Amino acid sequence: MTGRTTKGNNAVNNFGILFCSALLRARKLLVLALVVSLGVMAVSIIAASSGQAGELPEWASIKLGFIDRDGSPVTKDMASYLEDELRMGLVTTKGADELNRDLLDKRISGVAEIPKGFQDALLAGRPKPVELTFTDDYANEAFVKGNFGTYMESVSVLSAAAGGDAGAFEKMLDETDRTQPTVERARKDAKTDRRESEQESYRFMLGFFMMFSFMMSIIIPQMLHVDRLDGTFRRIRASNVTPVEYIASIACIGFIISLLIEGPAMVVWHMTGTYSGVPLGVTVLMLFAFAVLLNSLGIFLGIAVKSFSGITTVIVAGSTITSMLSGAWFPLEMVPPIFLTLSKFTPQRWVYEAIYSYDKGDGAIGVPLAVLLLASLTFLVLAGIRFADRKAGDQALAR
Amino acid sequence: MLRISLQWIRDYYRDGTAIFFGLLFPIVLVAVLGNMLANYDNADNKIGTLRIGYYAEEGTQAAQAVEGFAGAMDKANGVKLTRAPSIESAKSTVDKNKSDAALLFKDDLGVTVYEGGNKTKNMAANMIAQGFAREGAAYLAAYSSAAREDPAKVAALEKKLAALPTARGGFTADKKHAGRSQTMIDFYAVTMIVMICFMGSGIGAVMGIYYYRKEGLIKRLALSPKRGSSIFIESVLGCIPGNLAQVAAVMIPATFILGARYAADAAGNILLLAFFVLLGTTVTALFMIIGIAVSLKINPYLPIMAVLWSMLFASGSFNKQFSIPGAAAYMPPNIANRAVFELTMFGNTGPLLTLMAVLAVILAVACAVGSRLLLRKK
Repeated sequence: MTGRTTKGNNAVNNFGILFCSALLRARKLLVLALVVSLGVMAVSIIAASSGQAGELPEWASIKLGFIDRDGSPVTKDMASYLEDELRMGLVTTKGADELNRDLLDKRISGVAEIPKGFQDALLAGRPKPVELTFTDDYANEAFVKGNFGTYMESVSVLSAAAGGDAGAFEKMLDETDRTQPTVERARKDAKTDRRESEQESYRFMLGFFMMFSFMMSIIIPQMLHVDRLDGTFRRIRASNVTPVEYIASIACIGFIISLLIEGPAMVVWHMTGTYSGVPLGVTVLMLFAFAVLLNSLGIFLGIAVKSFSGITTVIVAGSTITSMLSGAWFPLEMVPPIFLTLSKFTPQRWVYEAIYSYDKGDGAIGVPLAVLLLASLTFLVLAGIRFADRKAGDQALAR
Repeated sequence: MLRISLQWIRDYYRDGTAIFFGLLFPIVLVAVLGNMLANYDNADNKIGTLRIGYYAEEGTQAAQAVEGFAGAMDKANGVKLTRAPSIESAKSTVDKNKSDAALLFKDDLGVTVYEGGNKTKNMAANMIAQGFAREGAAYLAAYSSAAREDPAKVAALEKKLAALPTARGGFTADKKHAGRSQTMIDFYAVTMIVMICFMGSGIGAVMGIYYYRKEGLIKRLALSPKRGSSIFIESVLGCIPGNLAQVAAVMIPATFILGARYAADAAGNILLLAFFVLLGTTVTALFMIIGIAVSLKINPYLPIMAVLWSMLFASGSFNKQFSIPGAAAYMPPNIANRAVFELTMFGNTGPLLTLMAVLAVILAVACAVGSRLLLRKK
């Protein structure tokens, strides 16, 4: 018993000394982690609080260049419908060249040009198309096309009823405007708009946290690499410190970095009552599993990869590409199937799987958690095998 | 002469990480992002399929009007309108995520849109509701006008309107903007070069100074009889081959393998190449000043990368549709991207030449400042 107690005390002692030493070595990175956390959190909270809960429909944000070459009652009515009913922002005072520049600079979503003779062609039963120019504002392009389509359906009815009579057509147009029924919006919860914006910001924030945690986990292989190079590793092995105590002390730094990056934001987010769409415990559990994976990967890289530039390459490139493929920056609904398959090899994707399962109402975190922990175990096993190979190699050299 | 330049060139090509991130990584990003986001070019993909529950009281004119409308929606747009037996039932399909939104039609043809959790689909539902209300009002106006004129004409009008094809379409025509269209590959083929001009050149410059300082080389250079301006300018010149290599490492494979399009002619592409090299060189000079002026005890790689990466992300370099409104337009990567797009999409060299003139002035000033800093160290 005494032997076991002494052994236990030694283990704790050794771990404590190694941990404090590792903490000292990583102190500047820990400060950087906190700075990154506060920066990302500030941006996310600003983004979340800019979400609207008001009466305006979302397409109030669509600004459209409007060039009316016809100047007829129907084109004036069209502009009034787009502005007053749909509350789009029409830019009517600029010419085509200026509007094309505004389009490129994203000051407007698109440009609509009404050709000359538009009303006459409509009354004759052969309507001329409205020319629409868009670059890459794809969602708004679809809505603008849809809105023009529905407006034109309505005036086509009037033109068919008018039978070519411009006077009758304009009277019916006027009556349509006066008698158009209202469209109201309702939500289960009046705060839903704001909550959606907060939820979206939360997920974006998590994506950044995971990416920066991934990058900063470079400290683990860096410490192992430096200790290997300068002989510290050999001296530690020659002492009564076990590999487990040594690795655990370094791995704790990895957990502290993750905690510093993610912790303050989680606390502030939930204390301020900002909506996340997922229980705090679930986020904490999934981020913990993610941190375990990063630590395992870091340990494996530190033991297996000979050069530090190789380690840097894997960590920096890996963190960027996995963030892209995982759905952290872009929704995955529209990517080609091969990228959907590739995304399953990214750890961040599994964190999001768990979080998105709460949208669907499943709350199924079992599989994502298992995937992350299994991957961690794989890296640890590989690290252990590599470590044993090196040890055998060192011993052979010593003989 | 130029020994310092040659030293920088040798050091660049000795560093495996620099080779990977400067020469290989950007083209990998172009390939991944350009192909992954190719479907974003299609507007219809943004909305996707739409499931809408609706309720209109039996026997009302709303119920009659909605039936025809629902059929037309399904046929033309793939929008699935499903009738619910009651208002509460229609709402509950949304609450349970079985519908994207619900339309509650009133007898006066007004509509309440009960919205779900997806903003884009809510907008689509509102659009459908507006279209219904507008078209309903048009029909009513047409019939009222006919009835006021001569009630006997109403039947003839009904026949005429019934003969109108539903969901006629063809009311809008796509017009290409004055310039050439841009695919996702075209977009990233430019933005990733701008990215590497900032990240590759900037980080390379700071890290170079950091390691030279660690090895005591800065001190030795400062003590040497060489003038501060010579040291600084030679160092900047030494980075030009690396800058050129990293630009070519994206432009060549992007053009010949990924099918990216830059300027329309050879002269335009030479101008582009010159611009990118000038941009990278100016960034190099500026970050060398930072490296000399700020004596960092920690490895500056991560802090500098975090700042640059955040700036690039916020300026919309990685995501066409994400940028910070207002601020993005003033960020250097955004300014550079827009000047290049003016050439590649519109064939307009003006903004690019103006920006090059500005960069040349900044480079000259940076060289003067950098030389002065080194002189102080002497």
